[in-house]
Amino acid sequence: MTLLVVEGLSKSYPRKRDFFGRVTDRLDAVSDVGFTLGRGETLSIVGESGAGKSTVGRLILRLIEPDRGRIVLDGVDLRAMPRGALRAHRRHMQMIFQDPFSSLDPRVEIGRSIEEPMLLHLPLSARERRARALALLERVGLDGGYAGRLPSGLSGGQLQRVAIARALAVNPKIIVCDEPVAALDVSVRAQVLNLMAELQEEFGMSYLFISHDLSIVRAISDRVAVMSKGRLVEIGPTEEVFAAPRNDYTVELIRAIPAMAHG
Amino acid sequence: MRKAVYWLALAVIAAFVALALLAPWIAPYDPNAQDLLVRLKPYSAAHWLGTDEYGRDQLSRLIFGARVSLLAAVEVVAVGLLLGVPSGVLAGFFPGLVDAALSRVSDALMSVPSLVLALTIVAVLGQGLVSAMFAVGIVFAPRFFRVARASTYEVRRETFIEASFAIGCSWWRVAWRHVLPNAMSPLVVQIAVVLGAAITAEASLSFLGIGVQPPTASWGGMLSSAYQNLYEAAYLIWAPGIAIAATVLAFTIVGDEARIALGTRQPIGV
Amino acid sequence: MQDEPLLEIRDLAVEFPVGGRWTPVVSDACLGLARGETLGLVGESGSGKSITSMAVLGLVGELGGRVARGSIRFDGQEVVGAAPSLLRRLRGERIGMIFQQPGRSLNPAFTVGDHIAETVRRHRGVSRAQAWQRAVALLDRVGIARAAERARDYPHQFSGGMCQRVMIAMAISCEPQLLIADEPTTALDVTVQAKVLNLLRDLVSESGMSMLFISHDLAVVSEVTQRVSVMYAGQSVEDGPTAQMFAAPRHPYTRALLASIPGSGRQQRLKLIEGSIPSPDTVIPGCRFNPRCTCRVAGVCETRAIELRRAADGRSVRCVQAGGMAAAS
Repeated sequence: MTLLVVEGLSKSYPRKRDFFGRVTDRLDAVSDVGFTLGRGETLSIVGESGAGKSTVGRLILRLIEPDRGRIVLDGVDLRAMPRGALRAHRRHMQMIFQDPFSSLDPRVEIGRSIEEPMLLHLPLSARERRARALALLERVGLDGGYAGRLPSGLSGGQLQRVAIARALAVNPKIIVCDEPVAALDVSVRAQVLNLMAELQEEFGMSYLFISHDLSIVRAISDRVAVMSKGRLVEIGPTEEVFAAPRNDYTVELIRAIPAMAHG
Repeated sequence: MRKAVYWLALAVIAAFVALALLAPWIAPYDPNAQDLLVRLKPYSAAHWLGTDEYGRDQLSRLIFGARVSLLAAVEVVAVGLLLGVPSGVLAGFFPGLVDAALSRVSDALMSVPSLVLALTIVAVLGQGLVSAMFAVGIVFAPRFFRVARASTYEVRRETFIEASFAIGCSWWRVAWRHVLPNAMSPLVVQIAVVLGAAITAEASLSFLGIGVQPPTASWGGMLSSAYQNLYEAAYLIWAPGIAIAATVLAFTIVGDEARIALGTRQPIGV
Repeated sequence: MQDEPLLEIRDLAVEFPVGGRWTPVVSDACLGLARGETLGLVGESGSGKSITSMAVLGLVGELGGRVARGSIRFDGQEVVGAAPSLLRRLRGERIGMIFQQPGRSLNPAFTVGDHIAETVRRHRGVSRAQAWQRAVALLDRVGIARAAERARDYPHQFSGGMCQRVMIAMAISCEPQLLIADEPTTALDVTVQAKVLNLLRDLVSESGMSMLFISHDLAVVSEVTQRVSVMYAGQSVEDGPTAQMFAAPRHPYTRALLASIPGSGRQQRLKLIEGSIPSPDTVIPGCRFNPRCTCRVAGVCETRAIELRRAADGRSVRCVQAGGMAAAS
């Protein structure tokens, strides 16, 4: 069952202006990108820096406005929506960011940060919100006592769990994960990735997983899309892409992965 | 050492506020009561700080003058904040046309010498404390605008702001609940400093006869009559002069401490 | 003399002021690097690996810390407590260093050629013209095309990978005996990383210099190094030849770290290490890994401090179970 359909997604930025301020050269951050994402599926977008993968994630959520393209989430055309309706629709699409230390408001207690999406989208009383926030904290492996604390003083892994709890708070259909474990220690990454996998099994949401780390991508994705210089160069089931890459760039990318030479 | 100075400054401010609030109850005389028999008499048991050319008790005038200064300071800061902060936040939020337009207005205000600007506005609004302080508020608004704008611009770029939008917050909610609280610390410093500067401004305008009108007691007015009676009663300078200097210095010191304390920018990033 | 290790660190302890008190960030580091060898120093955040490398250059004081204990011998000379003039001669001339964020280590106001030429001039005392020539030659050696032109460019005109090559050129400009590379490719794209690693390998084999390669990425370390030393929470916990260690690790932390690397193929669940890395001021009686260890021995691991013990085959482990583990694997 297809959840998300993306076609012809494009975004460019002005690079040079002439004396009169007219744009003479544009940088194509994303060019004509299209893919589908099924229900409960994990699709990873890989590529190097500047490939446009983070931009794609933000375009789909319309955190950045696309220049062109179709984005249809569960039958609803996201691009056609006026901004007001889009805001309400955000409960179905959430995001987890790369830097756990700056993705939470440093002046807001953890519990209130988790409650905020509920406040905006769900008709719950304050007590119900608080109860649900505590339940979410427990679900992501943090003691309920963290609810009253501020983000400073928590480790990267703990903060990322809080971010996951916040993303889950309103039961979204899709979560865009922008390099969610890149900033975490190696031994913590497995914890967070396992948690995300468990939650997917339990709640059934789809992940759009953006990463530059191919070894992680290989381990957790159902399908992989490879981007280079703003274009989607290859897409397919994970093992197929890794075992038999068709695009030259993909080949180069896979070949560059440092492999465990021993063990 | 720095700590001791800080506590002293706080004590001065506390005394200033106390004097201003409790004026009617602690002043020994009516500040406007004239007694021509004792005009221009220096320090005595009956009049601790002496009398001016109308025989009015200087101590009482000083205490009631504190009222005026406090009111002036609060009004200036209020006007400055109301004009400067919302526009600064808007400018920081929407770089581009909005920022350009607002910044040009702020630059224009700042390019006029402050006293000239204040006098011009007073000429339009009429004399008196309220309009004079309103004018000074407009003069100081660009300072708050610049600080709010720079702070907003910086906070706007943090990931948690983008995250707030991603959750579904509206522009208003993001600005009010997420940007402003994190942009407050530099503003707090500005507020402390401007409070001190406002007292000086009020004194200056009252000295010139533009602000508070005689016979109402004000520190600036006291300095003016001290100036006029310099040859006969030089002692009249001391009280208002020291009061102004001490209060402004106290606010500046507290503002400086606030800057150092908040300067670690603890909340944003570790 | 030739058989003596080029770098030997013994019982090193480094402290930093945390909340007003001197707290050990490194409590017991030991490693040995032979001439011409590449040693990997592996650890996560809080392991103390970067601080250890800073100590080799005598830079701990500059960072606000102090060496509490231990010895660092470079080419027979003691570095801990050495005179500043000696340390200055070591840095740049006999020990070169490259860092994680190359863009940040370069002064944006100077051209790339200036950076290298200045290093050469300061240590070798040659003329400006000769230093510039050497700079261009080095840029060419590290693979920067059109070196003569590019030497006149400024750091912001170079990409991350190119900046790192410039840093490498600076570091090897005086033909050092030791190159310390602290996470040199972590911030680089994977294809660029491959190229930079190849460059480092070439340079090492060409010049015979030793390299201390610090990284958290075990795959990279396995490709580049002959020996590995693993650090956890301020202590060296295991070391040995790379191939053997990764094939049959002896310390529970090393084993867990290797196991948590995603293998090939889709996995249901990644193996993980429970708990989290302790902060430097946390006091843990006994073995510092024991709260997270799956094979701890009650009554032993949490009571006494464990020493790093060297086995007959040259591998060292800080674990009471080392003997048993060697038999099990």
